[in-house]
Formats: sequence, C-alpha cells, structure tokens
Amino acid sequence: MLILVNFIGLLVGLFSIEYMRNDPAKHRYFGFIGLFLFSMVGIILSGNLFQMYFFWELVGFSSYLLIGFWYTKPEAIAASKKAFLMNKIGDMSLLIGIFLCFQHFGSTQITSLTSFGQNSDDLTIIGLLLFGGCIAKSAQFPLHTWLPDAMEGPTPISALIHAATMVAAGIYLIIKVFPIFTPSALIWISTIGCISMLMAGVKAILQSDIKKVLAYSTISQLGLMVLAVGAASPNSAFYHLLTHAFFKAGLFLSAGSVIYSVHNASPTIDAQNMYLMGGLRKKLPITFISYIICTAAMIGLPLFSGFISKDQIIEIWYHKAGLFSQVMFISLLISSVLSALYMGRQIWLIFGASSKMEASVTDNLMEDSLWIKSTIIILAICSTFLIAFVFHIPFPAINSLSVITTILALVGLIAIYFLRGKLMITYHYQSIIDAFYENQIAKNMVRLANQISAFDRIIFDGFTILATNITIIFSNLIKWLDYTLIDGFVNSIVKITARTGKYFTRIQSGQFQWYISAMIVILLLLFVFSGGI
Amino acid sequence: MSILSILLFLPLIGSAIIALSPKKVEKYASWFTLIISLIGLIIALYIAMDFDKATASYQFLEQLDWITVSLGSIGTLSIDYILGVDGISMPLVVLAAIIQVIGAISSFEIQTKVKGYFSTYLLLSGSVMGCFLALDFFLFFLFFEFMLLPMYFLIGIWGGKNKEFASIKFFIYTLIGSIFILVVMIGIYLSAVDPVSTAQSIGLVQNINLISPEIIGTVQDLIAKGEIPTENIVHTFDFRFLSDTANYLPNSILSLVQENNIGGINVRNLAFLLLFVGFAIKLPLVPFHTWLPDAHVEAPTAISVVLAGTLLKIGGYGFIRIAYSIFPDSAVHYAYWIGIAGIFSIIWGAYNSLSQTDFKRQIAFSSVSHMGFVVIGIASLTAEGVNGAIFQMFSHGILSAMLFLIVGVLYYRTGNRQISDFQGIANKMPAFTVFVVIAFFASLGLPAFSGFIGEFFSLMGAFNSSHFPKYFTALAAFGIVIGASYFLWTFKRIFLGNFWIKNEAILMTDLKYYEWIMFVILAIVTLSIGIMPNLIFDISADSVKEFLKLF
Repeated sequence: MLILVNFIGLLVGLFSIEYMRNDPAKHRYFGFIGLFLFSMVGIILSGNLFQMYFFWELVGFSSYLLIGFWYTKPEAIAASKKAFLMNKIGDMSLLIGIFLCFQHFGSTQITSLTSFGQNSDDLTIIGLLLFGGCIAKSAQFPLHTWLPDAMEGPTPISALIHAATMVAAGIYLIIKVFPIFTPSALIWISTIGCISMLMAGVKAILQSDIKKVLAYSTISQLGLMVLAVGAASPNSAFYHLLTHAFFKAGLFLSAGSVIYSVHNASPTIDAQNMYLMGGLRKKLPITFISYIICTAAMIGLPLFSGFISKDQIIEIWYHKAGLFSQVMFISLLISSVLSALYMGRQIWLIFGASSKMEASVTDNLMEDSLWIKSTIIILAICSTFLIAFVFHIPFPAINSLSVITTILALVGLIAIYFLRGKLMITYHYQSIIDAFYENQIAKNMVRLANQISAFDRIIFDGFTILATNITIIFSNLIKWLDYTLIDGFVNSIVKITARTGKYFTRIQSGQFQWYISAMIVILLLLFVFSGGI
Repeated sequence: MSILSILLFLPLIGSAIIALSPKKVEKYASWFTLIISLIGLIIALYIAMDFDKATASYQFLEQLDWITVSLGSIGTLSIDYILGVDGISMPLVVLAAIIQVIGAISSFEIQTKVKGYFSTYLLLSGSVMGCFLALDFFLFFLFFEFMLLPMYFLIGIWGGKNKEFASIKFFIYTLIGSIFILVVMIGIYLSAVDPVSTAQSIGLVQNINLISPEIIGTVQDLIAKGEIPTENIVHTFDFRFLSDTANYLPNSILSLVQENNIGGINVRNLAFLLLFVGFAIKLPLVPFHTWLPDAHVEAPTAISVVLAGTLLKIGGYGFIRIAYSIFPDSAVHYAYWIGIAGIFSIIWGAYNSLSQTDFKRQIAFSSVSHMGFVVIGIASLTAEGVNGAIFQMFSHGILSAMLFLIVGVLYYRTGNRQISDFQGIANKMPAFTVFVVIAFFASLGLPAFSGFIGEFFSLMGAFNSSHFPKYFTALAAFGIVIGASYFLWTFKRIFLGNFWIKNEAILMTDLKYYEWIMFVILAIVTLSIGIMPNLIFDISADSVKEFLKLF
C-alpha cells in the first residue's frame, strides 16, 4: 500500500509537471499534493484508530484544497465544499465508532480489535459506524455523490485522489479493521457495496463527460472491493485495491492526456465532452494503447491485472451458499458486463469512429510531452499481469468461471460495437439522491437555521424586551405610587400641619378678653374632669 | 510583592498612568499599552515555565489579610487577598496574556479618544486577569463585577451604530448573572468555615505555621459536632476551603448534612443552579446567549477579540472553580441536564450561525456553539472531558480571536460586514486567505490544529461519561457537521470565486505588517498546541484529577 501510494504519487507528480505547466499557482498545487501524500502515508502507517482518524481528516482537508484548486470556478468550489461535508458526515460516524471501540476494547490499537466472528449487537454497531467512515471516503451509496462532482479538480488530482489513493483509504480502513465485523455487519456491508457497484455502473453508461464516466466506474469498482470485504475476504479486496489503483490511475492520466491535448489544440472547446471527440486513436496513439490496456485490466480480460483480482472476488461469492450470496454473485456478473459496456462506449466515443472536431483543431492535436507519455506507459505496464509478481498476488485458477466472466466482458464490448451509432445518449437527469440532499436536507437545514435564528430574535430577545418593558412599566407604577401615595402622605402631613398651624394662629389673636375667657373655660373643664366637684 | 501580584497590578497601574498622563503624550498610549501587555505576557510565560506540573495544589500562592470583621456572637468574617494558580487556571492566565497582547496590537486602529480607550482597555485586562488569579470568592467577585465597567464603556463609546443598546444589554445580562452569584455568596458566607483560622481562634494552635492536616481534621470534627462556640467561628470565602464539604456548619443553610429546602428544591441544588446560571450567562449558554451577538457586532475589533478570547472563558472557569467545586453533589445531580444544555447550545449556536448574513454575527454564534463543547466536557465529569474543556477554552480563545480579527480586517478596509457584499477576496488578498483557511479549518476541527483536540476530548469525555447516554455525543457530533457547513459556506461566499465587492472604489490591500504579526502569533499557537496538546494537558492533568476526586 505504501509503495502504491508513493509510486502513484510520484507518477502523478511527474505528469503534473507538464499538465500544470502554464498554471500561475503551480507552487500551491504541488504544496497541496505534498500535504495530501503526507496525510495519506499517515493513514497507512497508523497503528491505532485515533492516529488514523487524525490523518483521515487531513486527507479530507487536502482533498478539499485540491478539488477547489481553481477557486474562481464556481463548480469547483461547490464540489470541494460538497466533498468535504460528505466526508465530514462519514468522519463523525467513524469518530463515534472509534469512541465505541475505545470503550469496548479499552484500546484503539488496530490489532486488538476483533469480534471473533461472533454476532453481537454492540460490535455490529461499532463495525457499521467504522464502515460509515468508509462509505463517505470511498464514495459508497448513499454518500457517493461527491465523487463525480469532484472531477472539477485538475485531472492528475482525480487520478491521484479519486482513483488510486484517497478513495482507497476507506477500503484500506475496513480491510484493516476487518476482524471487528460481525456476520450481520458483513451482510450490511455487502449490500451497500452491491448497490453502489450496480448503480454506479449504470450511471457510468449515461455520462458524456470523460472524467465522470471514470468517476462512476471508480465508485463501481470500490463497491466491488467493499463486496469482497463483505465476503469475508479482505485479501482479495486488497488485491483488487492494488490492481485498481494502477489501471484507474492509468485511465485518469490517459484521460488527462486527452483533455490536455484537446485543450491545447483548441482552448474554446469543451475538452471533457466525449461527444465532441472521436478518431483520436490516430493522433494520440500512445494514449490510445494505454487506454486500451487499462480498460482491458478493468473489465477483467485475461493477462491483465484486473482479471486476477476480480476473478477471485467473483469466485468467493460463487462458492458461498445461500440466496444472498447468489444475488451477490449475479450482481457481480452484471457489473462485469456493465463495466465492459461503459468502458467500451467511452473508448469508441473518444478514439473510435471518425473525428467530430473541425479540421483546424484535429490538425493541431498531437501527443504530448515526454512526461505525460512516460507516466501513462508505466501505468499501462502496471496494469498487466506483471503487477501480480510485484505484489505477490496469487493467480486464480483458470476454470469455467473465469471463462464465463471473460465471455461476459467480451459480450459487453461486442454489444458496444453493434450499438456504435447510438452511443451519444442525451439523457438529462439529476441524480435522485443529489436532488434529495439538495432539496430536502440542505434546504431544510437552512430553513431550520433561519427558524432557529428567528426564534432567537423573537422569543429569547422578545423575552428580554418583555422583561425590560415590564420593568419600565413597573417603575412607572412605582413612580406614580411614590408620587401619589408616599409623597401624597408626606405632603398631606405637611398640609395638615400647616392647616392646624393656621387654625391655632387664629387663637393667638392678641385680644386679652379672649385669653381670659379661654382660661376660665379650661379651668372649669379641669375641675369637671378631675373630680366632678 | 510576588509575581502574581505584579502580573495583576501591572495593567491596573498602567491604566492609571495613562489616565493621569497629559493629553499631549496621548499618541504614545498605544505603544505603552503594548509594552505593558508584552511584559505581562513574558511574566505569564515565565510562570507557566516555572509551574510545577507534578502537583495539583495551588502555586505561587500569596495571601494577605484584607478585611477581617468581627461579627460578635456569630463569629468573624475573614476576606483575604489570595492569589494562586493551579493547572486549571494556568492555561487561562497564559491565554489572557496572549489575548491582551493581540488586543493591544489590534487597538492601534483606534483613532478617537485614544487616552481613554487604552486606559479602559488595561483596566479590563487587569480585571480579567484578576478573575483567573483570585482564590478568594469575594476577590473573584470583585474583579468579576469590575470587569463590567470598562467593558460597558469600551462598547458604549468606541462601538458601532447601535452601541448604546448593545452595551446596556451586555451590562444588564451580566449584572443579573452577578446577582445570582452574589446571593449564593451570602449563603456561603453564612455556612462555610475557615478551619485554619478557626483552629487559631479556639486556641488549638498558636502559630499558623503549625497547622497540620490532623488539626484541620480535628476542627472539622468539631464543626460536624457543632462544638465550636459560634463567636469563635471564622467565616471564609477561600476557594481552597469552600470545596471541602466538611468545612460547612452542620446547621447552616448550605450544609450537606441537613437537607434544607426552599420551595421543594434542596438549597444546595438551588445555590448550584444560581451559580450555574450566573456563569452560563457569561459563557454564554443558550438561552442566555442573545447579548453576545449584539455586543460583538457593536464592539470594536480589539474588544471583540478580548470578549470572545478571554471574557467568555471566565464562565467556563467559574463552572469548574466555583459552581462545580463548591457543590459537587448538585453538579452530579444535574449532570444530565447540563449535558443537554451543552448539546443544545452546540446545535443551536451552529444553526444560528448558518443563517446569519452578517459575518461578525456568524462568528459570534459560532462562539456560542464552540463554548457548548466546554459545557459538555465539564458536565461529563470525566478526566478526558474536563481536560478537553480546559483545552477547548484555550483553543477557542485563540481561534475566536483569530476569527474576529479576520472580520476586523475586512471591516477595517470596507466598513462592511455583510457576507453577500464580498466575493473572491482570495484573488486580492492571498496571504490573508491563508490565515482564514487556518482559522476556519482549525475552528471546524481539523486535526493538527487546536480545535480538533478540544472538541475531540470533550466529545470523548461526554462519550465515556456515566452521567448521560451515548447518543448525546452523536448529537454533538452532528453540531460539528453543521459547523463545517457554515464555515465552508462562508469561506466559499466571501473568499472564493471571482473578485467582487460591493463598493468597488475600495482597493483591497493584503495584510499590513501589524496584522501579519497578530495572525502569525495566533496561527503558531493554534498549530503548536494542536500538534503538541501535552503543552496544556501536562499542566491541567493533575489539577483535574484532584478536581474529579470531589465527585
């Protein structure tokens, strides 16, 4: 795995030297790639889940930077944001899974995690939460929608991140923690893998964008790997991960070569639209041959790497008993046909038939520099059976099953040849899942956010304002009471005092007769009260 | 005068000097403030270096008798001037010192009433520092209250359009919180006993140096039996004694033994709730948070930085040091509900943030959300959670300072803060954008930056807590996802795309040298503690272990 990441990283780096030659922000680009490789190597070398999570997030971050590298392009920005958020959802699932692991096993050392193949609800949940991280990172159903959009990034990045390494990290994780999965968790995992595989296979047939076909095919192939893990065969998943990394990187870089040449020939043309191409085999022979080899590897023709790893997976499911396994087995066969269909279609559209471009453009088309040619040749070589020797992948036994799969793949290719005139499907659709995220979840989130903020303003602030107003009203009441009652009381005392004073001043009239008569009356009264004499 | 007093009084004295200096040297006030702040930072760092990480007890202690009032038959009231730091306050002291420097640099943009501004600024810084250093509840409360005054003027005079309203709202909210705290203080005063001074006053020991744990034990026995004559009891506000329930008079209102009730609620629980609300307003916890966005939006950049960077942390610090330490039993009793409040705050703040159109309001709400992690970390009552909460406070202090500076950079250039009025700033201000990426991604919890560690450990604490169920963590994790969405969304709207701003006449120039300095310092801090979280955990671990023994 380590060899894989660094080797592909190296090739992509070489390729990018040419591909990004004219970009003013090259330094930023290569810096980001360095960061990405650092994080990726970190994931691979981590011995415990905490550490792995640390790098896992960094991978998400560097992929955000790389997808949104052309930050003035609205689609690229939207795609990078989407990729990061989708991954963040998976990360949270992974994080909670790690917490649960820690609680359950008292450690997050990967070697200490095992369920001993027993069914237990706790472990199933832990396993599925960890798998949640893989669903997002490896673009499995239902969190797969970020990967096709991520094709807005530079093409070498798609090769590096979205084919060979980052998306493989999810698979790598579930291979590493494989012992933790309980049998029931494995059934869930297989189901998800199977759905992703078939759904993406069908969608790949409907694309017009050269890179989107490859993106969907990546989802499909990753589904295949998940399915291999679901079959309790992490080894075969890992083999397929290795072979896939090479042929898919080869395909992406070849596609990059096509895009680069077309773009250089005519900057105005949409260099990613396959419907505008055709007949490029004469102009870009090396790219064409590499494309053919990598495609052969992918659809699993003998002598090519995909055959070795894919056949193992199919065989494992074939040998399993039960209805579920049979469904999985048949899905695998269908997916083989599908991959032959979409790849055959793509090759025909790009390289086959005659050119649909103007002569002035085709005249300018030429095979690119040495950097580009050499990297795709190396990857094409790695897509043959030779790679099996490097990584010690055991060859599968050649039996009737491998013959059947080969025939199915050929059937797909032949079908494409017969349908060659009708390949430009104009099928406008918005993915249902994307629409669901967009219309249901994202819009509702924003609506809820607005409601919450309105609640904040109206209720919480309203409460404060109400309290303020009550205080003001109350203080006015107090003011009134103060004025009328307390002041009124005090004032009335003053008034009463003044009045009595005034009354008594009248007594003090200065007339002697009045004083005398008053004295006599008082004396008489005293007599009457003191003894009644 | 010991080193903590120097740290505390340096800004206060500086404030007085600026206030008394003649008007014509006004232009040096900003440099003077910066130098004072730098000296403070050096002292704080020196203390942190010298800090003994192997012990949980208070260090650099300094104690002076301050107010001693004989109350006749009910004993003596003793209020001391006690300063000290332990593993819980040490990171926050360093944080306050860093933020003070950043705020001072950022204040260079202030042009009006310079002298008054810097004097008030230093006064604020000193009071904040006092809150973290004080070990006497009364002293703490003094600084806690005193902080309001400079803050009120800093927002009310140097603030934006609606500054009067915001400053009054801030003032009233915090004041209500203070009143709750004050009520509890009175209860504590009636209930708590200083065993050391009491031992002296009943004649168990003659000299304070002869105090041993046995003697304290004897005094506590006597307190429990009610055998100490009331006139010899020394009442105290010393935090070190308040956290020991044996120091409470058995027949007092806050006694653990005697279950007093007011309106059907245990008095200790009630007192805890009052303290909790008092600090929750400061933190701020939903639903006591609405003062924060208003205050932030109106405050000048430097004051926002200080407000988010250190003032909010006093709420979290108050939880740990005061509410939880004094009423551990009630804290356990309410742990479930506090956990809910924390999670509610995380999600509520995040959603609110998502819907804001004003950049600064958005950042303010993100503070509410991030401080929610502090609450669940503390409420979990696990070592991971509480350490994580302390870390998160430090980390949020640094990151929110950075975020508010980012808003400040845009606002300083355009006088505008509407998210929709900017686009593609990255084209014109690439260096600035790099720091924005760091601040945003560190805030949304990218590994290698400090926000990740804080959130991670708080969540892990919440997860391992026996006080609330597991799905709480899942909900909090959902808050992180929303957090990622609003940061990315804002980043996309303001910084990416083709360059456009509403007022096209304005030239957007990249960072100036002093802005560089601030961002570089903060980015280095967040990165280094993100990669080496032990810088903080080593300091806090032992004190947290000691703290958790209470429960």
